[in-house]
Amino acid sequence: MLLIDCPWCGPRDDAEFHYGGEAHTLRPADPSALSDEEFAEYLFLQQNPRGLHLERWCHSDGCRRWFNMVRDTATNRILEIYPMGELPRSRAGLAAWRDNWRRNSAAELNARNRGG
Amino acid sequence: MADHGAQACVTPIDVLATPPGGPRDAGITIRERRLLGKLLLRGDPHDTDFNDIVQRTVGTAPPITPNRCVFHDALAVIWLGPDEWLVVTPPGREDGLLDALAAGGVAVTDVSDQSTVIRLSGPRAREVLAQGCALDLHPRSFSVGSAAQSRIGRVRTTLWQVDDRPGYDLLVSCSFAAWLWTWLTDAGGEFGVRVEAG
Repeated sequence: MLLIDCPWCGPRDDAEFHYGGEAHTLRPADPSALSDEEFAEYLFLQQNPRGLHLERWCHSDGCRRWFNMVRDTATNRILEIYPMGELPRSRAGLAAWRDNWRRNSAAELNARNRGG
Repeated sequence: MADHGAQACVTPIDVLATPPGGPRDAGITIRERRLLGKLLLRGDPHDTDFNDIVQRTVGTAPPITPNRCVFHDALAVIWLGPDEWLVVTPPGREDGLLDALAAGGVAVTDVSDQSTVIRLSGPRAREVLAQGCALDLHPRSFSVGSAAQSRIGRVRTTLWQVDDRPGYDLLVSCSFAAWLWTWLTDAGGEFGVRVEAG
């Protein structure tokens, strides 16, 4: 059992939460500019690390609010919980965000160039 | 909207036809609070207009602190989220309150018929809940005016403490109400269960 510290409700049993997949996956602003391979990479490739993973969670049986989490997939230790739309504040969490292959993917460059 | 005048109103607990009664010294007492009104409010608690209208119509400002509820004039206002509250009213009062809030420009929805409320009270109520709820219900962390949305017996439930007997109101969706009711009678069996008519 994980004890997850909901930013609103406080520490709760993990059964109350739903996992929402990898965080910080920017949708390409102009998908037609991508090749099929580049779009498939955006859509299907997951980071799947052994170590720190940045992911979205929803307190679905509680306040139903979304938040981001840095979790170590090897130990289940929760390093940090931070709001949607923001980046991790911890050095290790920020490094995990920076080192993700998505930062240099065609989909994310496309999203950044068009979306700002 | 709930048709409270009709004799034909049947709640999910009525269907079980549990006969009222039980030992006087029962560890827990359960009773359905039938046909309560429930209104869902959405708004920005830092917006003074929103606060004023809620204060004027409901009689109290919505609680800003998470996991809290306030009681006023037979109404309970329960925190559900940073911009979301539930107002629980006695049967029949929700229509007037809905109109008054809507006239003031508040985003309000009547959700009365979506759920029902079970009142659980008695000296062993805390121990019964502890059998199926991961919340810390010890008085140091959960007392009168505390509220939470969590799981009881694996069912999504909103609960708030109403008195020090202790007494809790459990708000559960209609489709799970019979399950929660029978779960409570089962979990409370070792302490003795008294059923009161709703």
